[in-house]
Amino acid sequence: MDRISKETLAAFVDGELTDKEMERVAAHLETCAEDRAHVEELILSNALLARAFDAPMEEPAPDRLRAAIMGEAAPGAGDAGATVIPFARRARRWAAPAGLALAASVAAVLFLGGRDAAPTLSIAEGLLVVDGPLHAALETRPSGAAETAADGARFIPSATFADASGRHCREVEAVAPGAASARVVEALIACREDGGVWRVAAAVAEHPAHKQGEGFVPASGGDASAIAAALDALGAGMALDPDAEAALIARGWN
Amino acid sequence: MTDHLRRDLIDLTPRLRRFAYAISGSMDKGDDLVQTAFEKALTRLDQFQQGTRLDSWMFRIIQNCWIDETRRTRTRGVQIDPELAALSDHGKGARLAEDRMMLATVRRAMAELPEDQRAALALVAIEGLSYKEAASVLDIPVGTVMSRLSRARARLTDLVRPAAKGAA
Repeated sequence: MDRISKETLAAFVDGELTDKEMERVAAHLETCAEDRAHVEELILSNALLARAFDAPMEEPAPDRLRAAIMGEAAPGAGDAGATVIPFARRARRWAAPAGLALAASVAAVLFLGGRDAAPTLSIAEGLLVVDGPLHAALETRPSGAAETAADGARFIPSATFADASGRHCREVEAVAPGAASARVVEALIACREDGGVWRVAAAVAEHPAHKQGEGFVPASGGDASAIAAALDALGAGMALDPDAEAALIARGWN
Repeated sequence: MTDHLRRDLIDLTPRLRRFAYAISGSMDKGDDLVQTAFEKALTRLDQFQQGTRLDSWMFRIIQNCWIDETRRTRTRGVQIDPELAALSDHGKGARLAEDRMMLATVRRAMAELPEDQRAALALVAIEGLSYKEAASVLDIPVGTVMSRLSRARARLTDLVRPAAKGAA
């Protein structure tokens, strides 16, 4: 078996290859244990790097940096200044290049050692069964597509992943009726059980920014870390790529 | 600067802080760096071309500020206190002890890389930039990005492998 160069394997992990080359490398990895081990090591080191320096991702911008950005401009120049950290991004960061499923187990075992730890900020863990349009969104909508309820609320799945026990879980953003933009109002993670039951694993609310005397009051940093903590507690694997997710939906999650 | 651009910068701040943390080896130093970079950015907004990537533009300014900084203080590489790195993940990262140790090992390994390799690795592996985008931030050819990445990763995995084996 010919080996593939380290540069090409790195380019594979970094998503720098064309689809055709990706497929070729993925097929090669099926049969070449050495190259597969190298790729797993690259993915591991990428994920470790991301985690090693991710402390700032879960915090709103510090006041002094905000002040530096706002410069001489009048404070309060906008009314929606909260630093909404898109929580979905955190899950997506684990995404592997298309066609690479092998690293999911590595991710669950090595990076997210926290699956035995209690979720610190999640609520309603495992008790609430999802129904109605939210169920429809979870069951049938690809990530990024909205399911609209009769009252105008929108439910938008943002990522799909497997948890440590192999269940499929999804992050969903809920946008209140009449909300001007796609600003996240509430977010939840639900996991699918046998028979199409989706149970809420964690739910958080993101509060809109409040205007105060000066500057903006970010209110969402803690909520983003709540979701992050819940993801860690679940032992969330890498987010599925859109094709894999579509296939899963088409197969009725089997 | 338009309010819109300021808003975008605020939204970008977590990523800019992460990048600065990764190249400087400390959150505090990183924040100083981001602040200096914002101040620089404000004075040269005319150089930012609408339609190009604001994150790449800021990464470039941050990296240049860092190079200036290290030249001025004549430091070689990142001054990182190993004890501190092992103990502190600023309470935001891992909860389990082994996990914390592994991440501390990664931070130390990153700090020990040569400056140019560290920046390339941070942009591609952490920030998810394409090779081409990283090349443009660092003002080097794509091939140089690839070889720096390759050397950086070889060193990093050598240092991290024992810890990873231990945790598995």
